[in-house]
Amino acid sequence: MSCKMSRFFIYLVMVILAFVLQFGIANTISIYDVAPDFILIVLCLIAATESRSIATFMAFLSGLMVDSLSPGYFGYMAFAKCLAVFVASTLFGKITINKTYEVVGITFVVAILHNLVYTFLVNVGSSSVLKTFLNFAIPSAFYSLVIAAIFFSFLPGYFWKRIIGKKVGHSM
Amino acid sequence: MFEVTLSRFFKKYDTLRDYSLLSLLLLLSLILMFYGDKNENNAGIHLIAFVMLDKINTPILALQQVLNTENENSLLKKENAFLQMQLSRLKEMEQENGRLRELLGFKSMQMYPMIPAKVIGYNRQAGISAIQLEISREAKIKKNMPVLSARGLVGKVLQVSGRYATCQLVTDRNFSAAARVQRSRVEAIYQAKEEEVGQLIGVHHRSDVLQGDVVVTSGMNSLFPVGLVLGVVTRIEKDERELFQKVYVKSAVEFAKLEEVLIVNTEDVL
Repeated sequence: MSCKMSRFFIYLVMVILAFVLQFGIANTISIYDVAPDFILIVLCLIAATESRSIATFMAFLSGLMVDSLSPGYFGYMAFAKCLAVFVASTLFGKITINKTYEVVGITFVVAILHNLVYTFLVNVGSSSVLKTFLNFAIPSAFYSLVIAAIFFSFLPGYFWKRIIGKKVGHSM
Repeated sequence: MFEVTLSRFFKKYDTLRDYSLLSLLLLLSLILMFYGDKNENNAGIHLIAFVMLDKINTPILALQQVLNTENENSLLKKENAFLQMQLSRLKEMEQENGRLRELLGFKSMQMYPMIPAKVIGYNRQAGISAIQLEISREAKIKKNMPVLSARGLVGKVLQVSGRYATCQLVTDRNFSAAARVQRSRVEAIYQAKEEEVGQLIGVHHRSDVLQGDVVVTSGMNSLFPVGLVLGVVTRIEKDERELFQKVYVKSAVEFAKLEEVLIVNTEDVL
């Protein structure tokens, strides 16, 4: 198996694992019904290590999987995740990453953008857009920030080499 | 010089390719938003997601259940004793009710078969509340069948894919049901408002509704049978200048702890 193929296999396993965590564990560890977005964190890792097109495509597929389990909202998560991960990949390509908090910071910004887009799409036309954004989107982004901090702190050195190399090589 | 030009060209090509892909995927998402729910073509994706969830999530959920068993057991014992007392009282009342109905020539209330289902996943995001269920292959589950737990109405079936189904919870922002205040028989429409809190729409400001009143389905729409518990009135906002009062209802169901549910087969009458 080539290096690129094995990397994709690892990412696929990570996305599936994140998907399971999102639908199984997230509900249990939710605080006042606010849960972190495990899938987005893994997608941010892909955005930080892979090319923009690969990350965006992975985001679309993962979003579609989440959408398939959301009643009446097919395509919404795919849209939000695609856009957010594209921005994440662009940021990772432009900013030189040296420390964990820089990656975590970008993940937080992307989580806010993702939740903003998703909340807007789901609640468009409703008077509760702002309320839902304040009650759900912001706290959820903060929760994702905490989980991202833990996740990226324990990330193996192999991924860090790729994250640092992203700015130099961009499309690897 | 040639190398620099070539490198610039590839960089521009990469950027163009990325933006084209993003535009294409966003366009595809938009198409899915408008047409995705109107046809059954996405059933394959549903099935893949369900199978994945079921295969990996079931052992995790089973472990959680084992950890909760002791606590749950003692609670269930207490609840069981209380329900036994109520059951004997209700049996007496049912017999009395039957005699009176016969006397008045009323039709007896319909009873529906219940189909058990296992909760294999949760999906709770901004305004969206749903659970994923695993059902028996033989069970004839259809869209819009009510889903119950021991504590009341959980939601309704929204989608069925083979052995799996998606249940829209009563807390989903698109959920509504014809409701009635059990004590005063005031009719209204229950609509999900926020997480685990719903609102009764159309309750006149002079209507008799009190905090603690139990709200049940009225059976006025054909989806839900009469008497399924929707929740308890937790807050009332009255303003004499407004025609309707705001009545907030909290569901008694602990959605985060749901493990098994019952689907009411409203197509077969026992």
